[in-house]
Amino acid sequence: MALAALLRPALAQQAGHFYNIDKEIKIEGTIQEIRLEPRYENTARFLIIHLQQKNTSQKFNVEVSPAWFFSQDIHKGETMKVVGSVYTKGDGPQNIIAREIQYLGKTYAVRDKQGFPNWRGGPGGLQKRRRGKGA
Amino acid sequence: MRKKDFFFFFILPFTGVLFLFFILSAVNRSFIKAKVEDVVGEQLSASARILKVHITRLLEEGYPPDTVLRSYEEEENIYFIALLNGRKEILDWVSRFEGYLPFSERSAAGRDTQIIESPIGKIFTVFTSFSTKAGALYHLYLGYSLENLEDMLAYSRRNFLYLLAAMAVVGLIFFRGVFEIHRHYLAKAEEAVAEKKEKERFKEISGFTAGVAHEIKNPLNSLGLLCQLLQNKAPAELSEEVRLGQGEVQKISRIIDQFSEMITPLSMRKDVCRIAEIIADIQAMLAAESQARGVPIEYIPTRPLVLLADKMLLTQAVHNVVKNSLEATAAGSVVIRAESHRKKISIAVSDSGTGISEEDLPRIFEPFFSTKSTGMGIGLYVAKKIIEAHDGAIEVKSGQGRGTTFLIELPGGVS
Repeated sequence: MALAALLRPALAQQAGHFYNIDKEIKIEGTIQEIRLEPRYENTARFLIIHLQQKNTSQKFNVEVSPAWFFSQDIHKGETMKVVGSVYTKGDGPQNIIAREIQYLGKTYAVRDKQGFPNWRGGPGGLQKRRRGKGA
Repeated sequence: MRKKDFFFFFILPFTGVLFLFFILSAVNRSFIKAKVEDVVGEQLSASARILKVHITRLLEEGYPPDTVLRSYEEEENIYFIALLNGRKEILDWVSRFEGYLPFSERSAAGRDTQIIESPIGKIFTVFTSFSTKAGALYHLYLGYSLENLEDMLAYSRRNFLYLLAAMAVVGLIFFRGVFEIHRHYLAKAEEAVAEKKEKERFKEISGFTAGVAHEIKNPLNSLGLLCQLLQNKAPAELSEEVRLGQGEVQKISRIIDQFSEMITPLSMRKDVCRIAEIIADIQAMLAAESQARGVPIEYIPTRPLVLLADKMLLTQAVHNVVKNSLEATAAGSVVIRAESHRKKISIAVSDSGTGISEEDLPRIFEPFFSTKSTGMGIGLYVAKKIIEAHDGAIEVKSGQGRGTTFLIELPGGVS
């Protein structure tokens, strides 16, 4: 499914919604859904992938990067490995801020090991503040 | 010059000084960097304390965490700021970069301040706690930009590299100069040693030759007298043979005289000499030979030239050179030019002869070297010896078929 068609309303932010290196995990799952959602103030929409873990069937929302940064063509039903920082929001599925994506045998780094976004300086720039709101 | 000398007198000192400069600069820069980081850390810690007081007041006034943090959004040097509750749960945070809050409970537990590396440069982090009057415990986590410090260090690094490059160039020139001076003096020293050895060898040979000449000369004189007596009393049919014998004895005597003259150290009596007079004497001495060969000896005067020299010796030296040129010239002329430059007088003797071959040229002033069947090969040697005794120099330029020019340079010109 083409990425450009997947626009959805913004999700609410949480205080824990930052790349916490203490909570880094690695999962492998199947792509269930692909969305573009607003995540941070003053930035482009983010690519969000709904992933179902292979061995546990647990569902995760994976926050990848601004849609313009991750330009790979991804499809439902494909397998994807994600390294990222997990955070919980309410009773819904677990959320992961992705650092590294492995898809179709290729590895894509979207953040560095401290969670610094690799798309810095691109569309949207570095000038505006990004903030996470309280629960 | 040996490779060892090049290494010890150029490569080693040059690289040594550069290395020393590099080490000293690196230590110095490292020390300054650590000090500056300390000072900046203290300054930023002080700023964090002020910020903490301000935030405490806002929280006590009842402002929610997001409103409190929003008031620091425009602070350019704050990369991120987070407010945590007593259980170290993040209540709210603001960052200049999406999702970037490099907070780790593990690392925060140990230190209050630290410097972390990031793709945007170094970030100074402060983790500090405070309580409101109501007794609520909070933690503040701040990340300051060390951009200015980075700029300053980059500036220092750039200047260091410029200085290192300048040092390399200056060092290269300086040590090259030192090396050249060393090489020059080493060559001079080697030359002096060789000269000393040569003088010692010559002294030994001279002593030996003088002894031999003396021992031969006495019986030869007796033989000469006997020939004279025999000449007077010999019958007419033997008269010619006796005369020839006497001539040969005289010839041997002359050779021995020349040997003796050659090895005797020169004793000079310097006086004011006129070059024109010396040349005129030489022309007169060689007039018969010049006429017989049909090769005129021409003197091209410039202006009256006078110098302090031993006239007799100088005449002999120039005579030997002119005679050599005359003997080498079958047709044409021998031209003598004399001129002065400041107190230096130069006399050039040019001929239109066959010239000297390339292989013979370096040996032309060696004793007993001659390309002529009749010569003994001591004329030019004696000329050189006399000129050098006057602190002058003689050199020769020649090419086969292009004639030869001897250039004599003498100090002591009198104006």
